[in-house]
Amino acid sequence: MTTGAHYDELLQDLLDGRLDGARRAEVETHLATCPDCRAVWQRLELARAAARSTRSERELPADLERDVLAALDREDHARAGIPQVRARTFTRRWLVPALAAGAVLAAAVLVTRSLRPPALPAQAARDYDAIARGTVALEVSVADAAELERFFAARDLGFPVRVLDLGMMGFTLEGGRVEPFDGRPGVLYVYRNAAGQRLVCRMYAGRPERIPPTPDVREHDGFRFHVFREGERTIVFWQEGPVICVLVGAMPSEEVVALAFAKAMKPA
Amino acid sequence: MDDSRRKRFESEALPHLKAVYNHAWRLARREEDARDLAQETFLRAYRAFDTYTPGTHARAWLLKVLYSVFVNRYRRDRRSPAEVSIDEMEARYPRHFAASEEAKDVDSWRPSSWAAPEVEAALAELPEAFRQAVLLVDVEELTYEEASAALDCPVGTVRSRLFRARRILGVVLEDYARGRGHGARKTETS
Repeated sequence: MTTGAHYDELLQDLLDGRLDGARRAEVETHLATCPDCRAVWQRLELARAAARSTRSERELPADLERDVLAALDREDHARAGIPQVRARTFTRRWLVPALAAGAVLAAAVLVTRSLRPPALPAQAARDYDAIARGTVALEVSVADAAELERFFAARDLGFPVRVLDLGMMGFTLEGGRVEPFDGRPGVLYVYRNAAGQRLVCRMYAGRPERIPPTPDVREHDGFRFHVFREGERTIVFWQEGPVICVLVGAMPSEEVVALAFAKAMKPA
Repeated sequence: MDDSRRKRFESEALPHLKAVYNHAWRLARREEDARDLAQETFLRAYRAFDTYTPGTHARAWLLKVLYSVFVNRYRRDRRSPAEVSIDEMEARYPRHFAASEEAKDVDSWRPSSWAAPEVEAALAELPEAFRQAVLLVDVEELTYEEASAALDCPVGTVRSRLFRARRILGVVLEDYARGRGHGARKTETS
């Protein structure tokens, strides 16, 4: 009997109380006369009752809450403690040597600046601007992280590309492209939040010594994050196995750093 | 360190630790994995706490974070088993869309209570995306809209997955029930 097919999901709406009066009366009338729909409705009701019967809860493991609180403590310390420790240590022990080193470094920079390739953070920031302006096209527009991973996997980059779903942070994936960085094979992919702010992630083959140095290094969850600022943009570099990751965003700097913390993941 | 942020998080989120742990257990079906998922969920939720609107459904928000952690970890660990698609399951149980002798006399064999292992086994047969819809709506009692936010998919997709999942689950459970002696078991093949 084919008429039942027309009422399939409406039967479920009836079961879950999602129909208004007129529609509800229509479906109930049909249900009374259609054996196929009646059978489907009974199965839906049966399945719902059975699923609900599994609601009984297991007790929490005794130390889980303690472990969660300890993880939050570590997070608090990582966010707030490290810069304070660095500042205090710097002031008390290293002020004079640092001034001397700074003078030497400044001289070295003046001498060598013209010989160096464009700084990677500045380049990452310029690329970010180009993407935000829409002047750099993505090779693939896709909102599904797994699909984008498959796209990159098919490009034989020589390293696995992991694309995280950042939905819980309010960012939706837009897509990505294969693009070398620092002369190495790499990819970039782009997220966007409801406010239209973009987040650009790069991954490229490279060893830790290729990450540019910075005085702003954060240690978190076993990773070292190198943080740079170029105008409104914050650029964060870190190492994941054989790959260097870069995250660039124009939201408040600490938000970008927190997103990098959230995104970093040890290779499987 | 922002003490007020930490206090707000603890007062809003921590009361749901048991619910998150239980849901993690249903997803992972292993004690150690459930612990890890719950802990990681709270850590990531804490980092993303600024995206939470105070006073809204904190449990639904935490389940959204849990799903994000679960999906990312599931893919990272490459532990996803080869799944039977919902189309294959519907083909396996062709009577799911029509009346049958079993359905007609449902009141004669419907058990008064379900054994959790049987239901959990039946749920485990469903493809992951369909099982998740049932877990969120029927077990966690989220609305379609909240489940849609947790699973990061449209409400219509939740409704459709829920419908197909329940319909198949109903047929599978018919077989379980009848196999337990509530009426004669009837084996069905495509």
